Amino acid sequence: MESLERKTKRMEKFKVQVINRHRMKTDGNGITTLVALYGCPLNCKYCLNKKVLSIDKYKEITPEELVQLVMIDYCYFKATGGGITFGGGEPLIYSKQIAKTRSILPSDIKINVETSLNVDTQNLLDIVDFVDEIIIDIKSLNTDIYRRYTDRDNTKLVDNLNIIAEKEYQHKCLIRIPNIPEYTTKEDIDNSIRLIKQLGFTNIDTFDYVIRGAENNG
Amino acid sequence: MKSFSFQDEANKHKEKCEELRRIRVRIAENLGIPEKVRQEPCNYEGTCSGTCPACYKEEQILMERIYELYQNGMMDMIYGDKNKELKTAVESKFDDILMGEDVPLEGDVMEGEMDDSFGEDKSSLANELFNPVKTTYSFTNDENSERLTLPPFRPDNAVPPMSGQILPDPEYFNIKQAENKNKKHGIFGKKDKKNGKI
Repeated sequence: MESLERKTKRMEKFKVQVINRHRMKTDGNGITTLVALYGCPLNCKYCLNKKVLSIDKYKEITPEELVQLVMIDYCYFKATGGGITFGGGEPLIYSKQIAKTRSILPSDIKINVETSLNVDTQNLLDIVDFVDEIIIDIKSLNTDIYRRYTDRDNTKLVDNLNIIAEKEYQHKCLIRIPNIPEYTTKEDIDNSIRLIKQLGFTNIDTFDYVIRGAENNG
Repeated sequence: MKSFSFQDEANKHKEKCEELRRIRVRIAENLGIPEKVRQEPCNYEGTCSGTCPACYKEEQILMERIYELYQNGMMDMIYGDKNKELKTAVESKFDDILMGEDVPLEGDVMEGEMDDSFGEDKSSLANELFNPVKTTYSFTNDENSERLTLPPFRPDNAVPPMSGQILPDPEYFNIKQAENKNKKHGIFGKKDKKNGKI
C-alpha cells in the first residue's frame, strides 16, 4: 500500500486547510504566517485538528500561488525576521513542495516547519538543509506510550532525530515534549528529556496538553 | 478553570492591531515616509480581527514604497543595520503579549475550556476552513517561474483579507492564471526580465 508521504510527493500542490496571518512568537521568530496543511500519518488521541483532518476538504494551491499569497505580509516579515511556518497535519509529507517554495521565496523570508518527524527520512532530507527552524513535537520517546497515543511506532521519529544530530542541526530545532494526560508521567517526560539531551538538543520545551472535550477522544 | 470570554478574544485582537500598527510606524520611518501611516492607536471601538481595510491600506503604501526603493537599488540601505534595531525593538514587545494562537500547532491543544454556547466550530479549524475570506490577488507567476526577488505588487483595487486569514479560491486562481498566461508583461513577467528590471 502506498504511503501517505509517497502519495503526496507525487503531487505538485499543497493541500491547505487554512492560512493564518500575523502570528507573533507562537511558531517561529518575528511575525509568521501559519500554513496549515492537510494530512497526517499519526492518529493522536487528543488531536485538536482530527475532525478537520478526517474531512476531505481543503484547497489545493501550488508553491508559486502560496508565495504570492503570503507575500502580502512581506514588510512585516522583513521588519521582524519572520516568515512562513508550515504546520498541519504533518507538513513534511509536502517536503518537495516546501523545497519548491524555498526556491522561489525571497531568501530573507524564513521558513519554519512544525512536525512530528514521523515521516520517511527522505522527506526530512528534502528540507532539513534550508529550513530555518524545526519545531518537533516528539510526544514521547517511550515506544509503548507513543504507540498507544498515536497508533504508530516511533522508529521514524528516532531515526530522523539521529539524522538531525548527525548533521549537527540541533540548533535549528525546538523539541516540544508534552505532558499527555493519561499517557505520560513525569518520569516518562524526564526520560524523554534525558534522551533528547544525549542527542545534543538543547532547546527543549515541555508543556501540558489540555483536553478540550470528550469529542477528541478515541 | 479558565473559561473562554468574548472580551478576552476582542482584547487580544486589539493588542494585535496596535502591535502591527507600531511595526508599520517603524517600517515607515525606516522607509522615509512616516507621514503615511497612523501615528496614534486606532480608536475604533467595535470588534476587529487585528487587521482591517485601513491597516491594509497602510501595508499597501509600505509595499509600494519598498517596491519603488528596490527598483532604485536602495533596499540594502533601507534594510541594513536599521532593520536589526527594528527587529530587536519589535521582538522585545512580543514577550508580554500572547497573540495569534487561534490556530493551534500540530498535536497541540487549545488552552482553556470553551463555553458551550459559543460552539466548538468557532474555535476549530473547521470554522476557518469552511468560512474562508475570499481574496482577490493578482498573480504574475508563469509556468517557468524563477526565484522571486521582490514582493509581489498588489493592484490598487485588491480586496484585503478582513479576518487575518486568507484562503485561496481555486476558481479565481484558474481564471487569473489563464489571464496571466496571455499577458507578456507584469511585475515579474517576461517584459520586465527583458528590460532588466529584475
